[in-house]
Amino acid sequence: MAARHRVGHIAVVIAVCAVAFAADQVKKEFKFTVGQHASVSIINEYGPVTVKPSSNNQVVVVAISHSDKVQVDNSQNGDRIVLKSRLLPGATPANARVDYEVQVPADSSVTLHSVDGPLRAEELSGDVTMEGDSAIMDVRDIAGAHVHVNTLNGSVTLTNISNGHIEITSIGGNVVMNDVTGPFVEVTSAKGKINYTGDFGYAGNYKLTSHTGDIEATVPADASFDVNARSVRGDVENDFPLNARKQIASLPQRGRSFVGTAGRAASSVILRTFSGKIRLKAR
Amino acid sequence: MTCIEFQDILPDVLEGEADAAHAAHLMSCPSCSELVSDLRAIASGAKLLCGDDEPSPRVWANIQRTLEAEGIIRPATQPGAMLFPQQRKWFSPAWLTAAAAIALIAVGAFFYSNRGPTSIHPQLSNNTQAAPLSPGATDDDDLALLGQMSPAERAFYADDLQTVNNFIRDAETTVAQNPEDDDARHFLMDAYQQRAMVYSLAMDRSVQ
Repeated sequence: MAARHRVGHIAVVIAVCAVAFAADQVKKEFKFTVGQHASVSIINEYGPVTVKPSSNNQVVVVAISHSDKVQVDNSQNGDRIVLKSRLLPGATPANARVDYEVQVPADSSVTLHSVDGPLRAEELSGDVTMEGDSAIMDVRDIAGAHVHVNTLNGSVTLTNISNGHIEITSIGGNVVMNDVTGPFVEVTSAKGKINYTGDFGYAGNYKLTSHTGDIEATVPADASFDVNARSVRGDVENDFPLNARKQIASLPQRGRSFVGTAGRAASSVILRTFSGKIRLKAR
Repeated sequence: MTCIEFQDILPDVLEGEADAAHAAHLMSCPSCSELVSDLRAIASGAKLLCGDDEPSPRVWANIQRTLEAEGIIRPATQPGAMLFPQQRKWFSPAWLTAAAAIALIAVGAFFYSNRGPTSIHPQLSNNTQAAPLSPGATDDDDLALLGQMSPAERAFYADDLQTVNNFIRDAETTVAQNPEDDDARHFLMDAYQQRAMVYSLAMDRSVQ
């Protein structure tokens, strides 16, 4: 009987908390009409931001705040839209969270910031910039655009990015790229791992660098690239029967390294780590 | 002469090509005078770090290719033309290192100018004085940066700063051991870029 009472009390407490929590939630919707190549910035201190393409020339932002300790400011100057979470006295990471769901014309450039995220952008053709401390970042289905990511310790996943100009800087976050190609792909990490799965595209420049993190690239056996890999203190492994370069611009440096071409050397691939391990795998 | 005009010709001033107007401004402006003094000290230190060897033409060619690939510059119109001739000391390794250090000084200066009791970051303003600084802090800039943070943030950022400082130390050691190692130079620049990013993100949190 006592146990039943206790369960009843707990249920009441949970219900009261749920009602209180829901009462503190404030959902706001913002709509902006923009022209081509608009610029949309979402500066969120805490909480997720998701960006998807809209079917018209409107930017639609749904912002859900979880307390009265945070306020969403918005501004439009021509085709430049800025939404920003403004912390009020008494704000904490727990109560200052705002959830953003954003729809933008696909050709818009978006800038997303959140300390803890997650941040996600998909199916866009405009530039994507993400910045965060521990925020998990996910960028997918982007074509012909710049993708710039700065993260301290959040993991970064890029999926199906074609013809991209990609720059990722990470301190501790792992970086995973699946089917990512571009004229320029550069990833720099201090201790995060870098994992590339794809074919290195055509006529691209890829440079993956980590201080202590491992670097692993998995590419088709018939991929075409010119690779120069070196780990100052770590091991290197290579599955490919590389051909010697006709012109060796730079001899392998001390440490462990491999250099050579596969196929017609369509893309340039540079892999560098101080004490991590490098592995180039054929699939 | 304004400070902006003076800073436009800073490279010439540092190479001893200042005229009377530049010298007069330098005498009358404590800020620019301090800047020139700092730059000379940094350049002097950087030269010790990198040795007196000029890098090979291959280094300049690599930088040029990278800038062209990024679209920052256009390809050279004349075959064999070099963007950075060896005589152009502004782009020498010593200056690249100095530039990175200057960026950090600027970051530090900006941070100092924004610190104080009027923090607009409510949840950080109450408890920044209590906890001891992390052992991850390695220089004055780091200490100043971490000193403005809550204990939880301090631990987070101290760890990241320690990581990038280790990166910088490894790269510096390798450059010192082998000044012709292009990879080590690139590592060093990457490491400084990462450090700048940590500062940038930390300052964003401080001023929001």
